[in-house]
Amino acid sequence: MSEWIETSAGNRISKLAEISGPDRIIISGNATIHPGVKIHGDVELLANASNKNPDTATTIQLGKFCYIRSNSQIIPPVLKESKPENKTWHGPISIGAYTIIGNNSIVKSANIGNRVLIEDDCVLENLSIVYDCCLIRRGTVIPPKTVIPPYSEVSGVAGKDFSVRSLNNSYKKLIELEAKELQILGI
Amino acid sequence: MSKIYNDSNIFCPTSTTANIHEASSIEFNQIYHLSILHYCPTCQAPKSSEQCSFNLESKFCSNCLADHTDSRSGYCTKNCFICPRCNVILTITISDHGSGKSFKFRCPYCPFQFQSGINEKPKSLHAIVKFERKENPDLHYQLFRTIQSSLSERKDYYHDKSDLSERMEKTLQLGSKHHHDIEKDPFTIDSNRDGISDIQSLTRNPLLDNNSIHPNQPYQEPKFPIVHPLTSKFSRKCLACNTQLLVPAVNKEAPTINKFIIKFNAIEYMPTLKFAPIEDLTLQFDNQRQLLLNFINPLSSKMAVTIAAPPILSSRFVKPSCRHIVNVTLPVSKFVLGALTSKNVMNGIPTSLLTSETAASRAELVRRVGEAQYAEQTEDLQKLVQKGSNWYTIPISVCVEKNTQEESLPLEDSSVTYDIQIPLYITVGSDLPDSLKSVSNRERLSFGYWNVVKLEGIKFHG
Repeated sequence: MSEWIETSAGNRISKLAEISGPDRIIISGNATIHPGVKIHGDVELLANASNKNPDTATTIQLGKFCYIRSNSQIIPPVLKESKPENKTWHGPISIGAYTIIGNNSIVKSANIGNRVLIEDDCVLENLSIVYDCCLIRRGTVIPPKTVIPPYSEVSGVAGKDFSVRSLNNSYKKLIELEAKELQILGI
Repeated sequence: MSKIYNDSNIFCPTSTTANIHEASSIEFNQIYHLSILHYCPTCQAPKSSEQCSFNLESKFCSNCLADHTDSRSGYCTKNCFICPRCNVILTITISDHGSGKSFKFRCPYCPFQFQSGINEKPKSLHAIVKFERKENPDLHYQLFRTIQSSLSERKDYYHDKSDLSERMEKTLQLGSKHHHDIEKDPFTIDSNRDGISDIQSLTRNPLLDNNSIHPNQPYQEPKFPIVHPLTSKFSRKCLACNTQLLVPAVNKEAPTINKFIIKFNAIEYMPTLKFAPIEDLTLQFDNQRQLLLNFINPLSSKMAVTIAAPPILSSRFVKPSCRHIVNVTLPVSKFVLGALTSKNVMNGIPTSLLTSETAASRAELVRRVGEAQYAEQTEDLQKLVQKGSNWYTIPISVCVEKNTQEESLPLEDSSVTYDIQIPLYITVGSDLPDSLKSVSNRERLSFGYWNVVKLEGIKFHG
């Protein structure tokens, strides 16, 4: 039996991926989700906290040709915490088209733009924003609420060697082509 | 297949005097990945950032998105501050005390906090932080003020030349010496011993040793928030011919817009090189090992390619250095790359890079292997190569020979892994692409360059 579910929109989702709240996740098409990926769509949104029917709004939106590698996690950003009740209210997360998320990476950003390449073992902390055409190098920790401008190469850990450098504009085409080829090759 | 992690490392010489056709002219600190290079349509050559001049087009704060192009400051003058410990944007909260207001800066990542005093008059946050820093300076600011004041004192001191030692006066004169005077008076070690000893003593100067600035005081964490640096957009010109290589579109209302008015990127005009996956990284002595090297054409016209490599690699191309000889053979030195006409991404992937992971890739692999078996092969050369719509795969043979004569280098340990860099001189000829017709004064696209492909983690065995 195949370990993958292939949809008519070209999405390829591993049966070993843990997707909670699938009715609150929008996947645009041609996306690949590898085994061990955890997508937490079943969180409570702060904007809908007062609604009678809070569990209907979209929490996670994935653009076309998104490629999510093994054991990575996508968690909508925490907006409010209630410590005595141990309850959290989240905001929605939007991940743009042609975005690649590497193995063992954790994404808690508010927004990730189009054509973003996140290498392995990265952590994008709560409410960080990554604009279009960015390259996040292996092992990077982007601190909470940090804004990464477009065409940036980010590396290092905050407080140690965190750096944001300018990225050549040719990466716009390169990351898009990389995402398309990965969708075909599945590696 | 990866367009980002490929083997296109281009040598971009900054010196015009060296004979670039010789492999010995390659300098490793001037090798750049294809993805970061520009392409000059006038010079018809790849250009690194060192071969370009820059012009600032716009500045903006990536946090508040305010435009600062007209400002001379390199920092956001709005209310954007970063943590001095970890460079994270600080959260600012305001407290009303009746008589005035105070501000609290808190880092969401580390325990850093800064509480301002009560301000009775309206002031910008910058002015508040600047005032508090002046009133209650931390060690960093104290040191800065000390250096600043001592430098201004020195400036006055140099006006009275009677107190200057002879050697100091000579050093000051040297600074104002004209270029032709320096040429007339060539540098000799014997005549400049005093100056050399000055530089040597400077490196031992205790003031420059960070630990000894305040030996009796422990390290103090910075106390004040730092202003947020701006993000800038640059245009680039070729230093050799002044052709514009990159001009970003500037929109003050939407500073994060990522469009360009002019862009000449090397990936759009130069072929991409990529080795087929290498499973076993061991080279047997005196045995030829064939590796497959893929060439991918980015142009919409055919590309005539010639390729050459030095038959014996110089020792500087093998790291760590070893006593053995590495030979490189190219059975195919001339071929024509097809044009990129199809928008189907699958057609642009070489057969050696296809996988069995997805149904689409598996089906394409089976189709291509079947077609290759039934295709008519009129020449022996066709058995060696694979080709597709805009790609060509050639074999490259690498052989390691034992060198028993060279005694100066130590014997190799079989567990040592080597990085071999193979320089390939590639010449490219093609019709001029439409995008270059308006800017280039040449009729054809024709250029040559060194591409250094890397084989990493290779073991020698035998």
